[in-house]
This record gives sequence, structure tokens and C-alpha cells, in this order.
Amino acid sequence: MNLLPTTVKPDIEDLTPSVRHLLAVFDVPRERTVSATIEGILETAVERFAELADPIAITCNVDRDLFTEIYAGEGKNDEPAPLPGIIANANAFYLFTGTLGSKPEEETAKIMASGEYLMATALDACASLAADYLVDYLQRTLEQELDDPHSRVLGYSPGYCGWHVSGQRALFKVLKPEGIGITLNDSAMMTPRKSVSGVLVEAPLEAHLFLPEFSFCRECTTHSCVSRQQILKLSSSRGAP
Amino acid sequence: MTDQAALVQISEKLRAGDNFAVIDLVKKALAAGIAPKTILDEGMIAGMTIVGEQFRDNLIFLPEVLIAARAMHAGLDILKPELIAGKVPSRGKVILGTVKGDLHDIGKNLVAIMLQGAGYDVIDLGTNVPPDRFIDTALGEGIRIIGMSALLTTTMVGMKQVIDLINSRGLLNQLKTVVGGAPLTARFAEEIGANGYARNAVEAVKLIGDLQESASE
Repeated sequence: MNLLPTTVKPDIEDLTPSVRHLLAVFDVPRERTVSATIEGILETAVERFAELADPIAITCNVDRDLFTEIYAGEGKNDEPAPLPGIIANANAFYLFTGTLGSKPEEETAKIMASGEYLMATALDACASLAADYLVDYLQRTLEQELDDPHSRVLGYSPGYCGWHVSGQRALFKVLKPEGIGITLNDSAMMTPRKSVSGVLVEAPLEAHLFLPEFSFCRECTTHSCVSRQQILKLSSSRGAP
Repeated sequence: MTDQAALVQISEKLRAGDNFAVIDLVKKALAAGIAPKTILDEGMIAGMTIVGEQFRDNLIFLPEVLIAARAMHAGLDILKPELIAGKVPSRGKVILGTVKGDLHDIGKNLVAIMLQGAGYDVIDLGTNVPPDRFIDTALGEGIRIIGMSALLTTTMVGMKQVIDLINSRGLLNQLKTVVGGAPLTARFAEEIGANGYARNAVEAVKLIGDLQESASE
């Protein structure tokens, strides 16, 4: 198997959030208008983010055996968990990692220190959203490349849904992302902070579906699996990709 | 304009996030002979208290809170030399930091900003703070409240290490701990023995105020 990672450089326009997205992150209801001052600060933050971010990612196709080994990692995963079942029914596995670069977080720190708290928080939120969009972008791109109407691609990451965050070490051994500037610290945390990693799993829609009834789901504060599965089902019923 | 009207105006402009107006009004209030502590308590902190209540009640949202905080700090920059010269004591001192292994700081910074806006002195230890540094700084500075932040499920266990160390050093009655961060829950805070859990920066200010009151009783 060719384990040579493929480099992907998305256009920043595909990852830049809108002011409306930022307001949603700040829990501002859709019907609520904000002052011109706030709107102006958020617009500036979005523009600044687009200037500073330098998105880059790498992906690497691995076989089921290798991914099973990577998933097992340091033996710290929760059991039972959804991924073993998904792995068993999947067609293909693509490891990925990507980053927006370090400039947005460096600028965030400077702006925060200057007392422009909303601007700093908005810039940080732009980068967090864009990191999520980067995973969406990789999923979408892979689905288009694979062009299989019977399968869907969804990303799973260490630190979520029972996959222990230490699994990033095993991922990084294969991906070797130091070349694009991503490193891990002792806590398996990525630097730059606005980076993502995991596996894109190509599998029939049904294989991706599970109920959030695992023991670790009680501690989860986001339950983002529910909305991810809803979006997947909805897009499948509409004939996506 | 009466002193009361001037203070109300400072509070209103602060709540509107008009930092330039707050700077101007604070300068005018000082020139009019209003005591710095009165400007702080009855103008600025009064304004931020309303902001906190409105945020709690979902009448305003984080962007409004943050531009009010910007105005608060702009006013504080003018007041601070006067408060120091007058030896006006702060409302209290709090230590904040993100636990060892974790480099996230936005949430922790927001708590620091809101605490300062509420009249507290904050010693911000930054990110990746080892357990003993929280405790040694608290003891060295005579501070009783330690606020800890974490954004990762792997690093939030570092909060327990701090609390365990406080316990092993026999300091549980002396030092109080407050925790917060995206992956945390009230149940987790209770399980690790923290004295409080705050979902956001506004809740953190209220919680720390309550802890401080109970500690001084």
C-alpha cells in the first residue's frame, strides 16, 4: 500500500465563516440584530482571519488492518464504542490532519492583550469554525473523488466518541505532519491549536449511524454526533454528493 | 450634572460598549471631584453588574458583554493610577490558569477580563500551569481562590491533580477551587472535589463572589 500522504491546499474562501456563523457561535438568536459596532468588529475579524489563515492538510489512504491497529493506539479507547462497528462495515479509510497555521492564534493573543476582547474572541471563533469546515471540505472532496452513490464519507477524530485522544500519536506516526507544521505535545494536543486530525471513513450510510447511548455519551457536552448523522441522512435523501 | 447623574451616565455608556465615552466621562468625573472608588463601584462595576445580569437572563449575548468589558477596561486604565494613589483595596485576588498540558486560553482570558471588570485583582498564570505552581503562587500571594481552565478531556484531569495536591498538603480549608472549560460538567467538578463550576465567565464572577463571601464568614 502506498502510504505517501497527499497534500491538500483548500482555498481560504471555502473555509471562512460568515458574521452570521460567528453570531451563532456566540448563541445570538437568528432573529436578533446586533449593533453596528458589533457587526463592524465581527466583519473585521472575518476579514482579518481570511488574511492570516493558511490552510493546508494531508490525507493518506490506509487499509482496514492498519487503521484497526492505529485505532487501537495505546489501548486507552472506551469499549464499547461506535468506531469498531463502523470500521467493520467501511470500504476505505483515509487518515487526515490539517491546520490553519499559527498566525490566527498569534494575532488573537495580540488583539486580546490590546483590550479588543470581542475582536480577539471573534478571530479565535473564526479559526475554530474554519477548522471544522476544513474537515467538511476534506469529506466533501473525497466523496466527489470516490463518486460512489452507495457510500458516504464522514470524519472521526481522536478525543471523540470513545476514541482516546492519545490515538493521535499513532495517526501522526503514519501521517508525519511536521512537514506542514503540525506537532503534538505530551498531552497529544496539536500545535498550532487550530488543527484537526482523524480518519475519513467511506462506508454505506447505515454504517455511520449509531445512537448516543454509550457510557461516554453521558459526559459529552456537545452530542455533535446527532447533528452530524442528521446532516448525513438529509444529504443522502437528497441524492448528495 | 449631579454626581449621581454622572455615575449613571458612565454605567449606561459602559453597558453600550462606548469605550471612548467612558474614558471621557471618567476623566470628567475625576475632574469634578468624585472619588475614584465611587466612580469604580457606582459607575463602572454597577454597569458591569447589570451586563452580567442581562447576560444571565439571555437579554444580551457575549458580543455585548465583550464590548462592555472593553469599555470597562478603558475606564479602568484612567482610574487605576488614582485607585493606587488612594490605596483603594480591590474586591479580592484570584489566581487563574489553564492546567498543565493544555494551551487554550480564550475562556480563561474572558474570566480574567470579567473578574477585573468586577473589581478583582487577577494573577493570570497563563497556560500549561503545573499543579504546584497554582498552590505555591496562592500561598505566596495570600490568595484563597484558584480558578482552573481546560479545553481537553485529556487535560481536565489535571484539575484533579491540583485539588489532590491541595488535599495532600493539608490546604483544603485554606484554598478554594473553581473550574471551567468546554468539556467540563458540574458532575465532573463535584467528582474531583472542586468548590465550584462555572459554565461561562459571568457565572465565574458570581461563583467567586459567593465563595469569597462564604470564606470570610
